[in-house]
Amino acid sequence: MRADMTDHSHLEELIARIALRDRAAFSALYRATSAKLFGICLRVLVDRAKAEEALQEVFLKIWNRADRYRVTGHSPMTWLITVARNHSIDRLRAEGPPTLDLDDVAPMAAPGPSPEASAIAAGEARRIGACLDELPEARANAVRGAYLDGQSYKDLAELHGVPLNTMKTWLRRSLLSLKECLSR
Amino acid sequence: MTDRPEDQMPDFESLAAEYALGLLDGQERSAFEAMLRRDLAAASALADWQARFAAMAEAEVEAVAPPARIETAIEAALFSEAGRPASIWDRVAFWRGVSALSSAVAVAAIGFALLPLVNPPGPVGPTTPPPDAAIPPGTILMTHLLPVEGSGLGLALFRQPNGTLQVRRVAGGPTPGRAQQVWLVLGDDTPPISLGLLGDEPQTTLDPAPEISARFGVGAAVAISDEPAGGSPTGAPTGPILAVGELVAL
Repeated sequence: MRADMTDHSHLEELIARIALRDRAAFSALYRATSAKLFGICLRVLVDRAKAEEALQEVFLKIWNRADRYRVTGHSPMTWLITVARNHSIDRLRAEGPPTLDLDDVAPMAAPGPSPEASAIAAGEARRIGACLDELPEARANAVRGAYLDGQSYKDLAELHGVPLNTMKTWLRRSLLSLKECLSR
Repeated sequence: MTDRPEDQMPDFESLAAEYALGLLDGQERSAFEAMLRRDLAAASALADWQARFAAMAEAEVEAVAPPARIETAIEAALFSEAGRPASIWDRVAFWRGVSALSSAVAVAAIGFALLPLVNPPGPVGPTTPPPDAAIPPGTILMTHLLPVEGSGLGLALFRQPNGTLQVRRVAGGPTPGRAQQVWLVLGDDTPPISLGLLGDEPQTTLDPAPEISARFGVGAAVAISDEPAGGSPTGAPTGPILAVGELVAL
């Protein structure tokens, strides 16, 4: 993997230029991130043809929403991955209501996360792998199953052979442990 | 929810994590979405969980190179002539519109002295001054936006040295149920950049982002288009041009 692939400020600059309708910046962003985002679409949707369609739609969304990237306060890779993951999950559950876009979620008057808060979140995020490893494996996999396979509480309960409410309690406790581990 | 652990994590923390994982349904989900819109702490908790789960996916999901045809298809959808919704902004038609403005009717409707304005830069291209040319500090740019094809809409626009734009209606008014959207037009190769929507009141102040503001210069043009309420859904102009004008230094 190329070293500049996750280069925060480089990607941020490309997104800012895309907001100004710069096609060269769009091509550069595609070259730098399409393999990772295709990996995400494929992981969620499994079917290759569906993942290819989803990737196209994800990049159309990136082109059309680049001007609103900044209001999310996210790092560029967080934004890109979340757009790809949410879009793929919405396709997977075509019948449900769509997941809110990140820029819809930011309250209108909010200044966004402070740079300090973003930095803390970014540092925490890097440790999430280690913290997931501290959970019992089945519980860490339930978190992954919900995020990357679009599994509902009902799916997870069936998969793990426990009653629905037990599954909810499990998962909420796991999230609590995760947050506690991340903030250590 | 009797089974929700309440001891350490504030309720919205656990809801935010569940929401980011896509685990909330129905009423719980709509209630949390309503909370997001009014509660900064909940929105910021969600942003943190989204960043954490995205980092998990970034670390754990393998990159897979997509087939080359995908990029071709994306570029065709975005940039091909057929697919471009903004073809009316083709420069020739655009400047034909500007030329049409030199009619006495348009001038009279506005009641401004139009000294440096109606001077279409002929065929497109290198003769047009580069709009990116640096503006000397302290320069106020202005234009009279003249009505196109009987729209009756006339405006004066001033760009203050700090980048703030003041747009004043001097003829015509808002169209009920429609929006009037302001665009910066730089040239052939650059699609118009949205500067915002005109308000119903006689004067609208717009404050473009610094990277957009930096692209103002003598020779660039500003235009108003008719759009659905709330503005263009595509990010490019979709309706007819109502008024245009070229920026000059004051």
